[in-house]
Amino acid sequence: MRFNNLLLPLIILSLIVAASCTGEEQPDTHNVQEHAQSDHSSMEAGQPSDHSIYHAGSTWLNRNNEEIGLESLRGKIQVVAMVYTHCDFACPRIIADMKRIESSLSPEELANTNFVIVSIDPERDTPERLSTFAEENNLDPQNWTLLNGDSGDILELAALLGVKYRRISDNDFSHSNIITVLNRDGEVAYTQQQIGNQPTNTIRTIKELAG
Amino acid sequence: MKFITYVFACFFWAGFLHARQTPPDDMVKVEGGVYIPFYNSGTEEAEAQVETFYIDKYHVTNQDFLDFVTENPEWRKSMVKPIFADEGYLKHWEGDLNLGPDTGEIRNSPVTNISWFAARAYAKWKNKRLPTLDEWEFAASASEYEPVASRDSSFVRKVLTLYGQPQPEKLPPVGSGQPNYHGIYNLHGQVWEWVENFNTVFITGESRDGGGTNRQFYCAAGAAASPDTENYAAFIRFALRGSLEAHYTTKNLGFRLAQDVNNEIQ
Repeated sequence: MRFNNLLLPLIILSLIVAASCTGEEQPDTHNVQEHAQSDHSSMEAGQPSDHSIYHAGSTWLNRNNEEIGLESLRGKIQVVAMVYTHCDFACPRIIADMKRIESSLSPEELANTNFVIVSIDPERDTPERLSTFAEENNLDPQNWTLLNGDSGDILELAALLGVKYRRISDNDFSHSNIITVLNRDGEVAYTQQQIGNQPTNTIRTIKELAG
Repeated sequence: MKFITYVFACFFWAGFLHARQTPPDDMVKVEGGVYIPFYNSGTEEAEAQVETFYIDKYHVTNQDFLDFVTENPEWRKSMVKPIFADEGYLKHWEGDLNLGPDTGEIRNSPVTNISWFAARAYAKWKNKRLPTLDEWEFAASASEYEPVASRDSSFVRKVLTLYGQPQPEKLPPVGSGQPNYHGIYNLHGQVWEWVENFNTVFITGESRDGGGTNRQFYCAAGAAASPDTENYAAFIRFALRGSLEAHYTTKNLGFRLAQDVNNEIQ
């Protein structure tokens, strides 16, 4: 009895997966969230649909240090990940996954798709740093948006996308390895919970949305 | 005349200094300190430094929230975007601006059925913010007599007893019972509370080391008798936060606000 009680903290720890940068893999739980898809033709004007994350209305800086509203992403399919550029382990793999997605799209599909990297480390990932990072990784400005924002807005966006992250030291974060596909109106169309496998479902979702 | 002006100026300045050091209405100052988070991944520092901050003595009430939605129609229950609040949002209210037949009874009770987005919007409206997880846990580790009572077994037992009590149909008004060391009411037992960074908690239902451990783990009666009972109370909060999503609302989840101490000087 007493011995069991001493085990409690260990057992609790064993239940916890500190994802990503510590090297753990999330269980394979792909899930497709089906929201009422809005009609593209009626969407262009007026308010985003009720399930659109663009209601958040936050403002960000891109790699050119230009201020952009979140809702300015509306109109294209968005493939979004929240990472930090000093991360050695999972983040390069997330970027690699996104590039793999990019390279599997047709020129027409690509013309309707944009890739978004949102930093969870706004102090270090300044627009300048994001610009350098984008160049190092050949992230085409036509198709790739890198965003630096206020910590409260980052937390809010993470909440909207179901991303969890936490600073674990001066230099590192743990965070979910989630890649989110947003439809043109900013509704979550697909959440890829895991990196490293073929992003088949993610690509299929984008192709469907672009079709 | 000059002398009088001088005296007035002195009074004014003294008043100003006083105001700077006095918490805003219905808030208390929590002196910063070191706190040991319930859980860390092993790669993190074991201790977290909490800076001095202000926190509400009481939960935000139904009346407070009614004032907010009156001025901010987009947060009324018929208007709120489903991405910001699920269908249970403010379901205990009769209408958008109507608390229903029990108005008199629940007006000063904690508002619940509130999403994290709604709580944050309210905080922004008040020029305040939600407490961080560390701030909340630090403030809530105080008993009536000590600022940090996580090792005080009678306090810990009391917290667990409060967690075990069923929620009454109508919540009592805020400010019932004894405040803790800092002067904060009802941190434990009445309702759970949103914190700013609730979504920093990682948890899965999966046990990594095979059979049997889950059963031991969920044996709460055993844990309640151990010296680590405070960990168990903290675990309950930890697990709750890990299970939440930002648009969730439940009848036993409310919030209170915090503020930076240097906020007023700006």
